[in-house]
Amino acid sequence: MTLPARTGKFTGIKVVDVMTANPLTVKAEESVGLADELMAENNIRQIPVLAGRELIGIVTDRDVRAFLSDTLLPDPEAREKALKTPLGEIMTTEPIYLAPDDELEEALELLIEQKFGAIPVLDEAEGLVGIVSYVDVLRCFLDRLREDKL
Amino acid sequence: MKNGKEGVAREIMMGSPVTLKPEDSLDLANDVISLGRIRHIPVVDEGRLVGILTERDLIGTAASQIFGLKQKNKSALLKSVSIKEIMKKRVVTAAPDTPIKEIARLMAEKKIGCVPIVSDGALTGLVTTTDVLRYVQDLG
Repeated sequence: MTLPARTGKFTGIKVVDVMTANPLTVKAEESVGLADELMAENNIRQIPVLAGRELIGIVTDRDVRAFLSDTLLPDPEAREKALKTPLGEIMTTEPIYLAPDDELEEALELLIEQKFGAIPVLDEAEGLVGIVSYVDVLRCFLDRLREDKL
Repeated sequence: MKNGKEGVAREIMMGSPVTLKPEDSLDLANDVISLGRIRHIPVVDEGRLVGILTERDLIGTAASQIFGLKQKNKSALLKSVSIKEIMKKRVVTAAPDTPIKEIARLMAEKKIGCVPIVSDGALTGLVTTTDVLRYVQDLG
């Protein structure tokens, strides 16, 4: 039996069409305090961790806050030490990623089923080229509505 | 709209979300958020929505308040602070018949993860980004 070709309303839309290009990144040796500041200043919740051009991890606001909450001590020294911890010690290694040419539906699946807030986008030749978040997907949905394609 | 449905909040909202009271202590919120793997809890006083507590508020704002206290462990610290001291009182809400596209717009523009659904001041449900993304996925 031949399955009918998928003709969903998002078919043909690629990850590259909706992603945020050139996202903010950090290095593994940079500090938890820096990631915390970058997330607050830029209103983002995930930052890819790079070694050169290679994606080696991702740090989320949940990682940072869970780590800092364990150091909720009325001791400024303990907190200072926690803020200086290298991100390599708390990041999630081998993060799931997408390719620019992957279908938007794949991103949707991961955002829903894995409850990821955002997914890094890797190009084989160029390395990290973007990040796709729920906000990017909602914007695409709203654009499609505006263009009356849904 | 599509599939004979109107595309409004009540079709995708969670009808009976977990809620807290303003007088509840932060350690209860901490348990609910860590055990339930949820990020947002509406705060309700006699059926009326009075605030929302996010995981971010719990860890961030709570921390700064707690530093001023001279107590020994995190659990005791969390017990000593009530939800109403930490919760956000200005909450973006929608009605059960608000179009889902309007909720999607609010979430994208304000970067908020959930919108409580309120009818005549009473909390009737909660729409999260996952609910909206599922709706978008079903359209595709």
